[in-house]
Amino acid sequence: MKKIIALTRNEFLVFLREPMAGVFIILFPIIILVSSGIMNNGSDAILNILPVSIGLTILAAALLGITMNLAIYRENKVLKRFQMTKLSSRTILFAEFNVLYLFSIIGIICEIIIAIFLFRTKLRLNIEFFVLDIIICSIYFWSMGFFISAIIPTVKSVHAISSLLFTIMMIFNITPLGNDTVSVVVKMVSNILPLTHAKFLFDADLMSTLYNYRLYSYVYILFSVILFIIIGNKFFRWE
Amino acid sequence: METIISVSGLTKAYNNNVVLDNVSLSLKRGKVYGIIGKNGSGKSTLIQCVLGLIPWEKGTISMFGKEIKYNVDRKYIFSYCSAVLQDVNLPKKLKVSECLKLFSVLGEYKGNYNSIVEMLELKEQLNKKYEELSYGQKQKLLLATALLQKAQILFLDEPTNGIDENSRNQIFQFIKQLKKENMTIVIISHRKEDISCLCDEVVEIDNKKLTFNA
Repeated sequence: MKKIIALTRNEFLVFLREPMAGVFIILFPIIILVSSGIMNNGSDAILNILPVSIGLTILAAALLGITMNLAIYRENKVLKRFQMTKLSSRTILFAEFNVLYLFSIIGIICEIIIAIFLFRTKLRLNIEFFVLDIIICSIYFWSMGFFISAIIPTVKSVHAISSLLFTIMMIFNITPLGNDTVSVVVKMVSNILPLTHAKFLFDADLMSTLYNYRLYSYVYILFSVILFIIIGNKFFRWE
Repeated sequence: METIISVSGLTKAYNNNVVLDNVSLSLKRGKVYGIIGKNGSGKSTLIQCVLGLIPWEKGTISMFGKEIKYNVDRKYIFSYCSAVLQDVNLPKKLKVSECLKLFSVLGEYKGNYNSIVEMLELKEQLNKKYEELSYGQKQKLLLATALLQKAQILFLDEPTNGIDENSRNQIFQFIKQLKKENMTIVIISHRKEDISCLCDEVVEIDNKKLTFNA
């Protein structure tokens, strides 16, 4: 426990001193939320975009935070220094997760405040499910970040693939909003993307509506998390 | 003297290019060993095998009576060993004091690290970030973090490479101090004259084999 606390503290300091990733995690989804609200004139549009922006916040922390940090640490041989201790790879990942989770929580709180106070959006928050789903989605995206950073060797390729995945998921989740003429193929592709499941869950949580496929989403996420962690653990490289 | 590490018939190849061929070696407690050889002769490879950091093709490595395996016994190995290998780094935005605190927790170091800081003359750098240090200062900090692991065996891979005379002398003084404390130390260098004054025994890697020097 002492080791996790010490590593988390240091990762937090590193993040504060190099705040670009933190700023991106918090600011980028807020920009999407605010610009979408302004362009679509009001709270209905915010109700559509808020679940996506919350999902994007967690996704950015995982894909552009954890994956990049691990890849940079590996390339700069920092991981190799950690390898020469009794630390496990999971402890390092847990410390990364703690810090990025904190940043994503700050981002999510900002987005909800903006939705309520700036756009006068009336939310009927199901707080228990909302908190549970934030934790579940954070673990989901974190395991995906771990998987990518484990199987892809260099910072450049990790950056390219993470950015590509982030952009694809964002496009597939933002473009169809309010558009009923989206093709079946687009919907099918969208349904297998991790961000889509987060969007569905947060959509139901924010308005306390019934989500018929909640259990299906949880099973899908659980299966993916197990798969990502097993493969990530197997292929994790310290250098 | 007790044998603490025993290497027997070790063979290591990179893409069918044999670097170490049937190498055997034993290290005893409290002695300082030097491993010398030309660049690319396999000195670092030997140490990385002993530390279980890279796989090897043939042979056995035992540490304190236990045969070690690549990627399996890392926690066991680093409960006895610490190392300063070439090119490793610490997080560049962390201050020296923060690095020392972190590694004192990770290494379960119970004492006060001020004596290490003073001995290595890092006191004035405590508030500097890792990225702001010179190469020699980085080497000294890496050595300090390795010593915070409270190990019985210390591996130093080219500890004097690229550092000035003054820093080199400080590191050597420190190694002499550790020797008095009965620590086993293995120093790698490509220059025999650099380390021969410190070592009880020097082995040379030449043409994939080990030869022993007095």
